[in-house]
Amino acid sequence: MTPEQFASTFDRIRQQVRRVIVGHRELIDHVLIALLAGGHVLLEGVPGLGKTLLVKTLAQSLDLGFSRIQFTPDLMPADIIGTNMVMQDAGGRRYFEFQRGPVFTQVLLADEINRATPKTQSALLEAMQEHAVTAAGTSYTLTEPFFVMATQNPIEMEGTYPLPEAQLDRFLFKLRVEFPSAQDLVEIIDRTTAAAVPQADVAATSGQIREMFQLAREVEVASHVKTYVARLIQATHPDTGAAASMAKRYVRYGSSPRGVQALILAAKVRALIAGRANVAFSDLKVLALPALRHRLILNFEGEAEGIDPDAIIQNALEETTELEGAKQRD
Amino acid sequence: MKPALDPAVTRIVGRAARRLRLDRALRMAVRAAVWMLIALVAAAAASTMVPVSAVSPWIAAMAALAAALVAAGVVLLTRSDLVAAARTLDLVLHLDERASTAVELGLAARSPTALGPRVIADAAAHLHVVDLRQAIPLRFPPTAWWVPALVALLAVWPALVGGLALPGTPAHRAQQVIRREGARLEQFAKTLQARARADRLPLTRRRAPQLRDLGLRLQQERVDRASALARITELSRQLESAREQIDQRLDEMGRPPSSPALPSELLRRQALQRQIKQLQELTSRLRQDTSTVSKDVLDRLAAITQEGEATQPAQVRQQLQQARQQLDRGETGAAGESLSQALRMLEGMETLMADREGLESAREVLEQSRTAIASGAPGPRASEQGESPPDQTQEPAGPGGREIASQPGAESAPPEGPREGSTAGTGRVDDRLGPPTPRLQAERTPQRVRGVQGEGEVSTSEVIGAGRPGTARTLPQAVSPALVARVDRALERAHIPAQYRALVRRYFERLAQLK
Repeated sequence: MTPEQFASTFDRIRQQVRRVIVGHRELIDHVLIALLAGGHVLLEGVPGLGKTLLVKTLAQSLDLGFSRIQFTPDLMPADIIGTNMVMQDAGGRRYFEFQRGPVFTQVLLADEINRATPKTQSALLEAMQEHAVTAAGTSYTLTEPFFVMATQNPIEMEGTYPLPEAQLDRFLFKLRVEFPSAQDLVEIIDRTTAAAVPQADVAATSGQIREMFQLAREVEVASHVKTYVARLIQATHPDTGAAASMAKRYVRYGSSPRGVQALILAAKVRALIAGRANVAFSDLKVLALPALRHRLILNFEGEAEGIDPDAIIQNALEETTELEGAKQRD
Repeated sequence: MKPALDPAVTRIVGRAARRLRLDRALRMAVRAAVWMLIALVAAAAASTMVPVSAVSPWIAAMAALAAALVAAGVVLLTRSDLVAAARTLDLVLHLDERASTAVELGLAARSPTALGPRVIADAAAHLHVVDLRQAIPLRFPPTAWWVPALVALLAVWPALVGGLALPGTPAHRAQQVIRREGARLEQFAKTLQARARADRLPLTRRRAPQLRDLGLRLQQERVDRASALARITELSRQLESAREQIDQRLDEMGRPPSSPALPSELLRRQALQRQIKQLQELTSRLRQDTSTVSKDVLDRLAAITQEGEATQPAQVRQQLQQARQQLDRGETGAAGESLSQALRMLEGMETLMADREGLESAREVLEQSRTAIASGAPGPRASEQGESPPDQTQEPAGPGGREIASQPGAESAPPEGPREGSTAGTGRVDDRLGPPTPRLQAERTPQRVRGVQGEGEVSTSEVIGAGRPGTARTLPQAVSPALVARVDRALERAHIPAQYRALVRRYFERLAQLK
């Protein structure tokens, strides 16, 4: 696959998704970037904003398998992974057979993931990281591409179990689903209340998606761009010399090394979408917020003052110069 | 396999690197010049506290230029960095790191990915349309206006602040020394001028006002140490030039070289004066009595001729010889004429030598002032150094012809102690004593002038001789108890060193005993 084919395929997928989803242009782009970078997405937004529809449409346009799990407090890990069931063959002999759970799919929607207990949430850990699940001592590999899209409601926090840092870190992006504008609402009315509801056509196959994975990893990154990402990540850590001023004050622990990987991988995809074969600073700056916002752990002062991690990342971006130790030319 | 860097990319980035280097050289040159000028302004500002002279605007401009050239040269001699140039191009032209990534791929040892050649081709396509003159314009940095501003500041500095010294600082002390030396030079110049006028010493008379003017300027103007030294050196050089002129004229007159018998100019001149007096006597005797020539006259003429071998020019000796022969033949009138001619020549020579000594003494005083100003310590006083014009020390003020003896160790001022005069053998208290007491005890020389009042030449001379030791004219008075108590308190307050305390107290006790 060439970069041009990558860009055109991406554009086709985006167009198909946009046929169904109204607005949320940046959200759609970021979801697609995360998908093509091989990462998972945590969507944060109130109910009714089209999160489920987005994932369903995505699965349709990519011709991928789709499962949806509604997380509830009584949901058990076996409900996600699957379980061994006693079966009986034609001869009357009984045997165990593994019944695959909903995780055995390609696009998985974990709806309201913070409503399940941590035990159940952690059942997703192996699947998200290793793209494999283990049941009764047997490992089962998931079909590639495997993409988890979890949602959580930021307002209704009663009876929820906030995701642990280890699990949050496994999401490539944390995206915020904003409320649509009035114009978008009108468009939603037009599209969803008419006789014919628009459907997404298949824009890419799973084979093409895998090729896109491979091509994204071929994108070149200049050494000073890598250094910039490293310094940006260091700027989120309060104890490093490069710490940004807000990070020093409000952050307990900054982004993990997974943040670097996530940022670079996502930037590579964005570079290809932009028709480039190299990563630019602009790619990193655009993707820094979704890639890092869920990786910062605020200290007491930050929590008490209700500091938005986006502000801290924005501050780190402002205070980290592109060329290390060099002032920009007049 | 490393992808080959596109020649177009290499060429354009190379040109950009050269332009960037030039631009950086320009900025570094301006920065170096600005810092150099700031340092010079700081040095000029420091001249109000420490005795250093402010740099002239020309020197400042030259120093700034030199600093700029050195800084620019250093930058220009460094090797061009293609990667850095490519990064700057990316930044300036918003190339989204295409150029830098391509250059890195072309230069780096690491193996590129499959998209490496694509990155290079992409960069070449974008760089192909770049106008480097527009992208990297060569222009002076915004701080360039500092250079003329600082040079202008240094130019007006002498007029605004030059010579100012903050009280209590070394610069202020140096200025006080300069003013004191100015007063000393002025005083000496006055005396020299009077002497030159009285003795009709043309060159000394011409130079004395310059010396006085210098003394006045050193006192009145805000003069720093360097300019004071420069002015002194300039005048000293002029005096030296005038002295050389006199030497040349003396040589033309046939001045004999110095002999072991009369090694110094002073002794030669004294001998010359003696001979002139003797010749004057002989001439007057010959004029009074032209009929007979006594043996005494011939003997004295022979003695003058013999004595003058080391001092008289050949022409004078020839005239004297001729006069002797004429006297032997009885030609008294012709002999008198020959003697008069010899006398005129000797008098002319003596005047030149007096002129020379006047200039030399002025030069010596200038040298002393220069040493004092350069070292920062006040120079010796005129009265201490015998800085009256030389004739006053040589002209016998009375029988015996006293000369003012120089004080031992007066050539170099003693080092200033922690408290002036507090340490035995060090320190000076001159400035606390006020002006020197006029030497009223010089011996007087009664002179009887013959002739009719109101006729003939008027001769005036100022005679200043050395003071003589004597007893105090004011007797010790009875010291009141209140005064003793005051002295005690003063002793307590005065921080007198412990080793001198007993001495001072004993002094007052002796005063009490004298009572």
